Amino acid sequence: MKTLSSLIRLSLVVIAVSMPVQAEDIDLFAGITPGGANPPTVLLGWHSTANSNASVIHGCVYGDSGEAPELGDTVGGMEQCALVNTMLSLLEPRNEYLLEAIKIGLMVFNENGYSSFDNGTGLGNGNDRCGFLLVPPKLMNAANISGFISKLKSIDNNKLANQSRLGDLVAESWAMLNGLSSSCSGVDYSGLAETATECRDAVLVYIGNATKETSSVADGTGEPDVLLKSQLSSAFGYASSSAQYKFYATPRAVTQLTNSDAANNKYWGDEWTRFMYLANTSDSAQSDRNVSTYSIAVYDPDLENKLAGEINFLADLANEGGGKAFKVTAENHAGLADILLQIFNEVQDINSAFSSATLPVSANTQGTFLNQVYIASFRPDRNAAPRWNGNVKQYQLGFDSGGNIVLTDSTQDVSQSVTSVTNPLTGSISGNAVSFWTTNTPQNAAGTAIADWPVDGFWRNSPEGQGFAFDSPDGDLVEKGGAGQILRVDNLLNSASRRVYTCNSAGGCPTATALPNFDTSNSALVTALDAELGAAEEGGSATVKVGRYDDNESISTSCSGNGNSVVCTITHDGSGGTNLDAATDRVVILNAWNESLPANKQSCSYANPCAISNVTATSFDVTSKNIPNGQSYNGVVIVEVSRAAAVAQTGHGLAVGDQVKLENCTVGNESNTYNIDLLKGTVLGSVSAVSSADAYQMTLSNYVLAENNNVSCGTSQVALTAETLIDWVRGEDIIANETRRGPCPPEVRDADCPITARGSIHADVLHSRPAVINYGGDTGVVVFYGANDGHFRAINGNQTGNIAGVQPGGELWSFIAPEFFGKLKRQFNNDPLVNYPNVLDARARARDYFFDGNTTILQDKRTGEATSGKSYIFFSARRGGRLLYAMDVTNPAAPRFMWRLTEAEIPELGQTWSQPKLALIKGHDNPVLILGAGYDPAEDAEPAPATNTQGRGVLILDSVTGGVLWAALADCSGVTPATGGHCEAVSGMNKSFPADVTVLDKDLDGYVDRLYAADIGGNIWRVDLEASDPADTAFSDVEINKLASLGGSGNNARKFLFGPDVVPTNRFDAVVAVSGDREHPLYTDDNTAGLAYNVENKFFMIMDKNMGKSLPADFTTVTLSDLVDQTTLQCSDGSGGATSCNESNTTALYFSGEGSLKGYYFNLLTGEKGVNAPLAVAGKVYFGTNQPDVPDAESCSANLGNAGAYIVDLVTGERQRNEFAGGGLPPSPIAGLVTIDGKTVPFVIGGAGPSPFDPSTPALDLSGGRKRTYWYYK
Amino acid sequence: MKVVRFQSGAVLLVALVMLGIFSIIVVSMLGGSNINFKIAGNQQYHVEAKSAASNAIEAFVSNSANFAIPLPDKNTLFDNDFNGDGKVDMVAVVAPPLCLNTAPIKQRELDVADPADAQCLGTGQGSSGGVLTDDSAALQGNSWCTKMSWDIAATVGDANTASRVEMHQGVYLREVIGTPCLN
Repeated sequence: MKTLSSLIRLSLVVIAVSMPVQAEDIDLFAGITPGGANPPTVLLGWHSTANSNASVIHGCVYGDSGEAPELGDTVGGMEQCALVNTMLSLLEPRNEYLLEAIKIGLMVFNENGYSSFDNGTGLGNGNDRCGFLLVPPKLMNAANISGFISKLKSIDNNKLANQSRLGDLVAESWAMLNGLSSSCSGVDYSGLAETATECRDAVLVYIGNATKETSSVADGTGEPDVLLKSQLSSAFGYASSSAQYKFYATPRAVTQLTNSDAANNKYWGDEWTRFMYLANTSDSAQSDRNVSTYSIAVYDPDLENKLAGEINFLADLANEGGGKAFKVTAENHAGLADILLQIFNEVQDINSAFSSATLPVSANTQGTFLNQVYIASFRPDRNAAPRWNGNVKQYQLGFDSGGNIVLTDSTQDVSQSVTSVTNPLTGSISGNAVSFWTTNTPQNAAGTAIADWPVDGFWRNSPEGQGFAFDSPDGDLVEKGGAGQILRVDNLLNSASRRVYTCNSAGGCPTATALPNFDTSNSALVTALDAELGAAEEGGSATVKVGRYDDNESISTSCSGNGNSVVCTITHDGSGGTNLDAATDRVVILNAWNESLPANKQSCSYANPCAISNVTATSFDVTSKNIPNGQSYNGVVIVEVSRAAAVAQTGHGLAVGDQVKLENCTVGNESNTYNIDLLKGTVLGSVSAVSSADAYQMTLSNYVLAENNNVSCGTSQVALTAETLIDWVRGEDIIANETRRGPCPPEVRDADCPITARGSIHADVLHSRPAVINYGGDTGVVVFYGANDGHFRAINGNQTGNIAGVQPGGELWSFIAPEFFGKLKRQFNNDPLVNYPNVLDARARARDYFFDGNTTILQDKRTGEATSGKSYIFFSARRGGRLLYAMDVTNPAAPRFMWRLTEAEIPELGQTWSQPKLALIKGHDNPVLILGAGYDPAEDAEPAPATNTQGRGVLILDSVTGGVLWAALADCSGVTPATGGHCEAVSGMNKSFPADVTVLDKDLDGYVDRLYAADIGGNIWRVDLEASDPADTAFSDVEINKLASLGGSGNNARKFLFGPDVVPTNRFDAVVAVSGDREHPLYTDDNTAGLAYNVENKFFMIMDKNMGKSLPADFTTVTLSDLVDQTTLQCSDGSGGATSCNESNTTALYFSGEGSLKGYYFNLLTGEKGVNAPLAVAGKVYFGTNQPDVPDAESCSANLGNAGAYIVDLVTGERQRNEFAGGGLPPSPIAGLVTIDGKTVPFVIGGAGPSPFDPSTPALDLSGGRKRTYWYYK
Repeated sequence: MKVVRFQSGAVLLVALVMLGIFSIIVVSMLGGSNINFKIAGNQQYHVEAKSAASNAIEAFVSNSANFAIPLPDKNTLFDNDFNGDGKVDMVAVVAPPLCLNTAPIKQRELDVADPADAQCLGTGQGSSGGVLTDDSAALQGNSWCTKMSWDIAATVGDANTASRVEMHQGVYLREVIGTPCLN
């Protein structure tokens, strides 16, 4: 027995150790399951004061009874009526998806009139100083909606409060939504506590009034400030001297609301919503969840001036509370109902994954951006298939009604106030947003409507989201709209006019002439692909069987769950040989519930077969809210419709993953069949399993029943040939293995349905941040980026205006590098699967990448230089390979190949992860490219190896020739520098350099004089380009030194995957960096030292005090022990050093450069990793992190981890950690000045959230900085 | 009889005329003092209006949010109740602040040891985005702060007393670069 148990233990150890060696950042998307068990909760907070009696002729009547509201022709009556009608509209078919999918409650100001009101909770009614929970949040089904409405209608004039209790109500809502035992009103809400298994904030919607001269947003007598401070000190345990306490308890100033920032102010609502949204709930023992606040200001336009401060305050409730601010006029009941429905929709939205945002630089004003925002996106395949959808979409920046900068869509006019289209609850784009280029009435470049575009929508066979079968609104659905849609529009019937370039062999790209076409008439290409693919298989006649018709079953149902998450277990007797497979099968159930239900409520009918899960021999689960619970049925037919066809074919010779074409198929009889047309004529499918030499299983494109119908076929052949591969890559759906079936799948395509464009025509843009060149003039903006289907794309980025006969959003050209030919077959087959940690298929392997790196541009607008007037692009492959390409795109429609760099030229070159930085340097005429030498995939192993074999070094290349001007490498062998160039072999350079290199022009003469490069071993290197006499430093005089060594072994094995930022000051140059191994994003309970989850990642600020052009001879490398640990903020010891804070030392440490301090660091949370490049803006450093979720059935779990948005004060190390909604890997922050409608304003995108695409304004502390200059009367 | 006839009424007439004149003088003096009262009263209103304007400017300037993005785009109204009867006597209107000028502060002008300066520091990496121009070097090195001068105008116009005051206050402050200055 002992032996056995130790054997088991041993085998467990073996399993634990033999973890997959391969790992990468997309592992995070391995098991994304949208939604969760808990429906989201919304609490409406209604500002019900006597001021609600402001008279308004609104004309609203109750939708059910047709009566006027109880509160009559007043603003309160309008709100009452609009609320009732919104609730009624949830019962309408158009809002069916909201029914039973969302919990809604209502809180009003407490008043004597409620002292005997029964809200059904039995919790008591509390004092009348705060909020009263009129309707506790309940799942909105028909019964609860009716209960909600009757309580709402019972509000009359006697139930309006005599003063505003705004802050008090907000404080009450926090207690209510978190089920706290103590509250403002004294009610014990612990009976309403619930476990938030879905990582989603609860939502407070505050409906405020600005409709009477005396309208107020002040607090009542419930002392919300005292309550807030008590939460901070008691529940959250923050000492009153702590940074958190000061941050949350300090009143904030509100524009035009006088005294709002005074210590004794009476406006604590906005501090409360800020606290509810930002508070780190893991600091509290309460079962807390955060609350996002939306606000709606119901206002009278005549009083807009008078109540400007109050209206601003209502907007700030939402801006500080992580939600959105709305305004609606006092008579507009339909507008109020629309806003409420929009909020309910956002609460319901699910997240899909986006990658990064880019803005084009203005052509006219140096250093400012246009207000166009390009967002690249990707959508991981749910079933771990390697082909992902992707897109690039354009949005714009505008000002909302409160004057805040927001991201908005194409339907809004930025010369007026706009509303944000980000969803603050999911972090992605709202479902009803329409990006530029997206349309349901597409045209060609000449403005003619596309005749063959399906009137019922391109996605009619795979509808989804708010646009359903249509592209518009595209919302957060990646494959809809945007550049992907225009590509489908332009290549709808065939891809003949698509310009796809290639080179016929690696290294064989022509420089003087146009690139060869990637099409079937390019015989060299066909030959090259034939060599990759090998000979095609052909076979003889075959027979096909699909699915099962199992009659006379007895079944019973058992359902649980709420809303759209109701899961029913169907138990059957298993007698009929039902043999289901959740991956390939759906079920239709006859002679049970469907016969007695209306058509729109039927589940598992032929019109709507059910997906299944948790299949056992006698049961399976179905997600449906319409199946009757606890019922039993006899004589039932369980029809298994399946995509898995059993094919018998003698000596087929096929392998798993092959795409097969069976020709001349006929169906013997059509009794008991489903989708039988799929098996007539040519049948397309992919081999999913080979059962014997004479039989295999084939995956069809749709679900079919053909069990005993004598389907036989003539010949077969493998569908994959060089020609079909080329046409498929060019965008034609010819093999029927689309994840989302197109409008005319190959088996039904004919003259009436001729569309061939693939829905997957635009693959994921995963790590490639789009680069934009603004050509100005008539041309405008062109966007360049690589997608992971092989195409490096150039698209017309204009909102209007063709470029070279290509419409806005259309593709000017694309380029497929010959190095990638071998990867195209897997894209075609959509097989083998990606080897995520949870994928068991032995054939699964790492995902393929193409030009997945960031693109660098050079646009030379100088005069009198060799490169004047030229535009170049430089694109790299990241995991796609060890190569860098350069092209001349001076004519955006006719690219010319310039050069490429591979490991042939620089054997030390690793995977090209480091984006080249364009710079001018002294002593060389052409602009240069500065980059790290790359990533060594050996780092994918855990723990990481001590030394790498490639990517160790820093490179400076001539941007025009690609020649190596200067290189500092671990190994210079095989490198031939350009004339005057130099390769320096550096000892101690053991690790690869995947991060971007930071370039600094310290003396501001226009020439870069210093570089900082971080390696994956936790070191930061400093390069001095003008170390010798500045005028003409030879490349051999360039100095490189290790500035800091911050890594180590074991749990100190910190990696820098992103470059540092540098802030030059008058006393030191601050180098800031954050460590984190983004490529191992998952949780592990294995505590082996050195695993990415266990490594202690830190943020560093190093004061580089050598501000000259070289380091002194006695310089010593900075190590961790030289830096102050600011994880807990330290205090000054009075003599320039650091000491812990206590009663006698209370002066916060300030890194002024005086004294001996060399900088500081602080620890990130357990398992947390820096996942993007830090950026210093206005005294603060912004960066994003990801902390993996710890799998736990009891607590909230979002799968994508917890994405942190850090804002660090550069000179003190004080910091604020916000969270990006939706989690995941936030893109690097970008900042600058953007011109919107003639106003140039500063922005940071990806700095603060709630969505990583939300722009924010960098804020300064203006207190104390104001000086009076003059004063006079007129 | 003749004597009587000669003395009949001249003095009375004179006295009456004098009385009339005195009456006129008295009445006109009464009127004059009313005017003086009115003048004094008007001065009182004017002082009240001035103090209303001055209070409004103080309150407006004290709120730092009024100078940060988003800037107010509407008038701010300040009610004044001088006699404490619960009714508003005068309303001071502060227009949105008028930007007089703005000048970016270079990073090298700042001292990192001063917290007010340190909050202006930002990345030293160029922001050209790959675009090279002849004047790229000149635009390098701006900090995130700009020096701005604002004119704050408060007007008090009281319909009842027709008193009107317009008061201007110049304010200098440092703001985040790009704070709109559209004048």
